[in-house]
Amino acid sequence: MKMDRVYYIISEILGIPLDEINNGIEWDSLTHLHLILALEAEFGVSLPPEDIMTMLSVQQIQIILRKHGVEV
Amino acid sequence: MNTILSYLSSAREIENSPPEGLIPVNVAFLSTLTADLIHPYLVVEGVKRGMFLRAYFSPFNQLEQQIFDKSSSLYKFKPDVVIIATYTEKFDSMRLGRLITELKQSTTATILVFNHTGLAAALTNERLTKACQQFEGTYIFDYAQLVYNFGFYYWYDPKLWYLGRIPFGANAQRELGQQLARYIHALHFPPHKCLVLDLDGTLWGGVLGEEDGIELGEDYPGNVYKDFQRRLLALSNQGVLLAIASKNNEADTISTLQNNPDCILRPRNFAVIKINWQDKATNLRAIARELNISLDALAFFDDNPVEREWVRSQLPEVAVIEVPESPLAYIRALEESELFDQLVISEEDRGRTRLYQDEQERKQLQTISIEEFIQQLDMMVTVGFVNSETLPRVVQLLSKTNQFNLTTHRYTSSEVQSMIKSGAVALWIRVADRFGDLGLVGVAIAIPERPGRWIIDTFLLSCRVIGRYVETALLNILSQVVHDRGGQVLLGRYIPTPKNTPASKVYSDHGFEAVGEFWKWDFSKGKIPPPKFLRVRFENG
Repeated sequence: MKMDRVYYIISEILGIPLDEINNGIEWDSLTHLHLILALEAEFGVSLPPEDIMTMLSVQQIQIILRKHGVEV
Repeated sequence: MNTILSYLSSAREIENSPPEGLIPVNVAFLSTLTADLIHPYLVVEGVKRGMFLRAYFSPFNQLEQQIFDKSSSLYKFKPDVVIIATYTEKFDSMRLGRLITELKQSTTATILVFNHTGLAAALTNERLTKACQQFEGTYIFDYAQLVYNFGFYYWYDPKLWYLGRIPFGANAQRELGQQLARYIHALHFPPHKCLVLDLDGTLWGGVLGEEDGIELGEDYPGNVYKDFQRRLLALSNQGVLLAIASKNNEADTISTLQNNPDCILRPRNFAVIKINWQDKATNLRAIARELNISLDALAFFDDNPVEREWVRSQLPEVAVIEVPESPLAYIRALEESELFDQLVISEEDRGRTRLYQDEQERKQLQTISIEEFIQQLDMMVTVGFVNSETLPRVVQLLSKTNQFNLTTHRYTSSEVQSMIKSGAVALWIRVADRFGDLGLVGVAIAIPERPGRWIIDTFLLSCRVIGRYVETALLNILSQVVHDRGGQVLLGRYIPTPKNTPASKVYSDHGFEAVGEFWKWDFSKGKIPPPKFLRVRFENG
């Protein structure tokens, strides 16, 4: 369920329909910060810069969120 | 609800199909910090206030590069507002002065300058303020106060600062976007003119005339009300008229206002006082009528939700402030109503309550013929050219005069200056009579359209002086100046609005001929004659 929420957030922040979100999708650095802040607010976590800099794909986002205890 | 998501998606929707009827404003950011993240907040908060804000963020730390290069993307963007946001103690007022001087030569945009946070910034901020005061249409954006209001640890997210030189966290981005939208709103919309107040439960606790007496003093809860009164007095000093609409016994109430040692507001601080048992909508209508302002210039503050609902239902034009149950939150409710935001405060604003009280005394003379009345007033009008000293008040009149305003053109100070630079004649008029000085109350701007042919672009008078032949004096001098500059015809136009019928007959009353949508004065008839009962002085030069 929570991962559906991750897809939903990525889709809303990028302005791309949910079913078009896949692991190859990219975004610019400004959108990246909006996305990180939205994920932090959504899951109540605070992500360190080292992790933020690696969260550049849907899969990486999932991995890092799991590392911070977000259930998937 | 995830705030970031909702702002981002709303902003995208707005930009894809902007709602109708919004004022478009182009906002350019020049900064030594990264401000881009506030973009969605600015767009959404702008729409809430009737504006479509389009933002341009210049590349990081490119102030001089953008301002001195006339072909830069800053100027291509055609900004209406330029925001200079810096984040360093080294940003001094000398550098700011050079940047603004250069900006002013290439754009008529209004300029907002961020001040700096922290105790060490006090001196810098004072200098930045002074530097801004040297220029028309240039204001400090009080960033320091904003950060103070929310607290630094709420505001700042170190990771955003070190990753991207962004000095505000997720929550702060929304607050900043909102506050900027508020400033930009204040540049484009006039403040409400009059705040109508209730007494019991509003200016003091308890009920006047009941045994326990009222709560007003140095200890809780009286100190809460006393401080609220102090805040209202400050508002009055900014030029907002205060009025009372209260269901009470008039004699007891006036005596409390006059004699209670803890009462900060005295009868003289109120432009109109209505203490009676009539319903409040009736009293609000009477207040608007006596002050000669429209109902939508009134705001209403009453602790009783029933009264608020009644006024809302009867007078939808009046801004009814949502008063919180606890008086502890009154000051904040007043502040967050945003109804009295204004960025310049003129000398006339400071003395406004007294001006309106004089007006009431003047009206008591009015049982004789209008000519006799005007003769008895012993009026003296002075006309002069708009210059840097009179410009703030002139721009204020341009932005808020609705009734006696022939074209209702709204201009910023920079726009007026550039009109004058390109040859326009811009005049102000002051009026004094035996009751006192009414201040600067009118503006006329005429533009040379082609040799010999001049257009009256703007002609307006404050409603305080309607019906006193002041417009005749202003037309007289305007025609004289235009004629001296080679004018052969002077053309005027009346553009009707829902409010400006009082001005509809100016040109026909003064012998202009109707030519299509224009009214024409031909100088073969000489200049427009001066008024009979007024002494007119022209400060030429």
